Order: sequence, then C-alpha cells, then structure tokens
Amino acid sequence: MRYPLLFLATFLFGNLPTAYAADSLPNPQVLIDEMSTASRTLNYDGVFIYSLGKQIDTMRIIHKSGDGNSYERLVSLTGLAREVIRDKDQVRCYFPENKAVVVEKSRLGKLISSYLPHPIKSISDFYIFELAGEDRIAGLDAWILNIRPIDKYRYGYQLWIDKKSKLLLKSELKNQLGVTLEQIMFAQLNVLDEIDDALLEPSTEAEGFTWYKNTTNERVETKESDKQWKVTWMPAGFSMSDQPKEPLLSGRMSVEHLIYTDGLAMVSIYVEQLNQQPDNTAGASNFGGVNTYAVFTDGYQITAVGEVPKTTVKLMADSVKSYH
Amino acid sequence: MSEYNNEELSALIDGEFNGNYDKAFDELIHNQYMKDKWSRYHLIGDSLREHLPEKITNQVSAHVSNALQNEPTVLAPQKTKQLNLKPLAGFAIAASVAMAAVFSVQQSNETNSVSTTPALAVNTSVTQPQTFSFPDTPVLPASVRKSDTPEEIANQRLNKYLMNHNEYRSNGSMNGILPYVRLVTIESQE
Repeated sequence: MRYPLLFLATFLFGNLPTAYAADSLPNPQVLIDEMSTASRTLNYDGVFIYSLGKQIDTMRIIHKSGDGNSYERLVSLTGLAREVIRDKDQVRCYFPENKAVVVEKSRLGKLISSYLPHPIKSISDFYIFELAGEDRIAGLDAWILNIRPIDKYRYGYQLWIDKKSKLLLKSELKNQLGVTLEQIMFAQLNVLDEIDDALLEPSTEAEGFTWYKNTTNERVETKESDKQWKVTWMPAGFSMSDQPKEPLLSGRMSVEHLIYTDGLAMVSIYVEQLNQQPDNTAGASNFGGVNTYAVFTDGYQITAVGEVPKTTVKLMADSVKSYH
Repeated sequence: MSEYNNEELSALIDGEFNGNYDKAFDELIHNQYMKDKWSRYHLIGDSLREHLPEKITNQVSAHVSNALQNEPTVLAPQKTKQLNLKPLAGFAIAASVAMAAVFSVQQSNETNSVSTTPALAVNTSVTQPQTFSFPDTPVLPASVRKSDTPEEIANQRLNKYLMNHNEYRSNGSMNGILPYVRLVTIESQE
C-alpha cells in the first residue's frame, strides 16, 4: 500500500478530493528537483530546529536570491551567537566567543552542473523514492518523501516538502535500520518577495575581531614526480565528480582532493604527505551524519570524509592506490 | 576461597581481604560461579555509588579480554577522553577547530567487523584531481596558545578536511544548509 492515507480517504469518503487524485500526486523525483530549485531561487526567512543526539539548537536562516546569485545568512539562536554569511565569493563564519571571523572561499553554485538535473536520473538506480504521505510543518502543508538506499553503503532521507513553495520544511537523515541520525525542522518559514539587505548583515559587532582568510587564488605547481591517486573501490553508482578545476590556493602543504558522488551522497578523499606517521589519526570519527576514516600508507595519510556510513568511508579509504 | 564464601568474596572486592590474594584470585578465575558472582557484586557496588553507565552489559570480562586482545601494546599510559578534551575546549576557535572538540569526543578506533565484499571495482578514468592547500600558519588567534601536540595537529588536519568537504557539500541539491548548521552548533557538544 503505497498511499495508505489516500486509501483511507477513498474508503471513508467514497470519492477522492480532486487534489489527491492519483494523477495529481507529485512525482517524487520531480518534487526533489523543485525543492532544489526553490531553495536556491526563492527569498525566505525562517527559524528551524536542528537536533543531533541529545542536542537541540535553534537557528534562523535568511536567503535572498537575485542576479542569479544567492545570499544567505545563518544565525544561531541558541548557545553561542555564531553566524555564517554566504555569498557567491565568500563564506564568513563569525565566532564571537573567540572574536574571530574565518573567511573561506565560497563554492556556491560552482558544482550545480554536476548535481542537476542529470543525477536525478542516475540516483534513482541506488535510492528508492516514494511519496510517504502528508503532514503539516511550521503551519504549512507538506508532502513526505522517503529516499531509501538500496544498499548499506549510503544513508536514507525522509523529507517534508512544502506543497506550495516546494521548500524543504523538515529533513531526517536515517541509517540502514531507519534510526534518525540528525534532523532539521522549520518552526516558522516565510517566503518573501523582497529581503532587506540589512537582514543579511551580521548582527555581530566585529570590531576588534581577528580575520582569518583562506581565499587566495595563487596556483600550486604540481611536481612531475607527484603520485597520482585513485579510489579502487566505491559503492555502485559512485563516480568522480566532474567539477571544473578550481583555482588552487598557495601554501606549504598541498593536499590532493578527490570527490566522489552518487548524485546524493558525497565522499571526499584527501591525500596528504606527512613526514611521520601520526599516532592517533588512523581510524574512524563521526559527527552527525558525517563519517571519516583515515589510513596511513607509504608516508601518505589518506582520509575519507562523507555523509555515508562508516563502512563506506573505511572501504573507500582502504582502497586508495597510487600510480605513476 | 570456598565456592559459597560470599563474605570472602565481598572482602576481596572491598580490598579488605586478609588471606592469600594470589591463591584467592587463582581460585576465582577458575570458578565460573564465583566469577559471575564477582561481576554481580561489582555491578551492585557501582549501582550503589551511582557509577552505572547508561547501558549495562553483563559480559564485561569477555569484552575486556576481547578489547585487550585487539589492543596494540601501549608503552605510555593513555590519557582519558576527559583529559583529551581540556586543551581542545580552550582551543576551539576556528570553525574547523571547533570541530575538533566534537571529533575527539566521538573518535573511536573501532574494529569494523562487518565483512564486505566490494560491490564494484572501478577503473576510474584519470581525471585531473583537485588539489588545494592550506595557509602556512594554522588559523589561531594570538590569545590562544598554539599547541603542537600531535593530537591537536592531527585534529586540525581532520577539521580542515571537514571544512573543505562541507564547502563542496553545501552545493549539493539537498540540504545545502546542513553543513553550516553543523558548524554553527558545534560548541554545545564540547
């Protein structure tokens, strides 16, 4: 029974309300596509709850789009008053407790081509999409959508999507057993015609703050002798992301970064040459839905990072081989 | 120690046993009944002192000997997790570094017993991999003591990876904000 509610409605009322007629039910994959577009192109201001384990936090997000660009501000409403402000060039993270602002290069929009719309097709081979019912979140009517992985190498999602605006209202990340690992849920969400630019300014008085920037554009020369690396095992459906080559940053340490994705989950592989074997970095770590696994081989540390189960990061990290 | 001498066993646990320790322990480890009793007594003691963990296992000894078997020889005493956290808490500055606190809490070098057969052997075409690098100086405010312990350096490295991964991740078609949500909420995890 795919739509139990619907069945019930038919049974009780004898006829289906037109809105629920089978042919007007949204196609799950189209819905995801619409959600993705909505989150980028709409102006909205909302408050949501984030929960991870026993921890619960509240945050406000303000998103403005214009000239094909997105501007976004995320403010923590609980605990420390941290803020993250993103535009097309930069990500600024304010840490008032340390009087620090960390500036990273923004990659907003740079990878769009590798995610849309093609992946929707390919990810359906590895995830089962189904409309699971209806619900009400933040006072808005929502479709519930399940995305279940076909194997144990990826996580699943349950998404609540606003029927009207198609914005994401609630999201649960689930493991193979259906246990929720982390979730976000909007308590209030307003779609607006205009967003005042002032709302995108940090509320933090950054006077006397130290700024740490990591946004230079110089290139690092790749030495001829440098080893090339590849992952020799990955779950079916994963492939190396075809993103354009980014300008490289300057610095003493250059780290090779390989990105693999099945269109939904993403795993980064970092390969860094170390002078000596670190004694405590090998092994697994976890934060919410993110798992990491590090191995040390031949003077290189290989670290896999991704929103996939521990098994997957471990197998991928262990499978990295060098070639000339 | 006689099989039913609970008093002796109790004294042994409380460190008040006056007899021959070696002999008593020798007898104890060869007597399953007394071993079970020993572990129950400890459980009772822990419960009275409110030292019980959230989850109780009655196979502690089996777990411990398993763990010992898999443990590499440790020459220096290992610091407890609590001790590990202290320097990191004061050190939680950059977004990346803040992650360290979280990671040190949850870090585990667990043995993965899941046997997995590779689902797919991939012959990746040689795409030019991404390369990026970090500034020479780790991101640290002047007021924070720069620590050079291998642990912290290792944590910093992991954090950089996480930050970088998040940057790319946030462009995904779903949950674009989630990476930053994680970033903002980290402090309460310390």
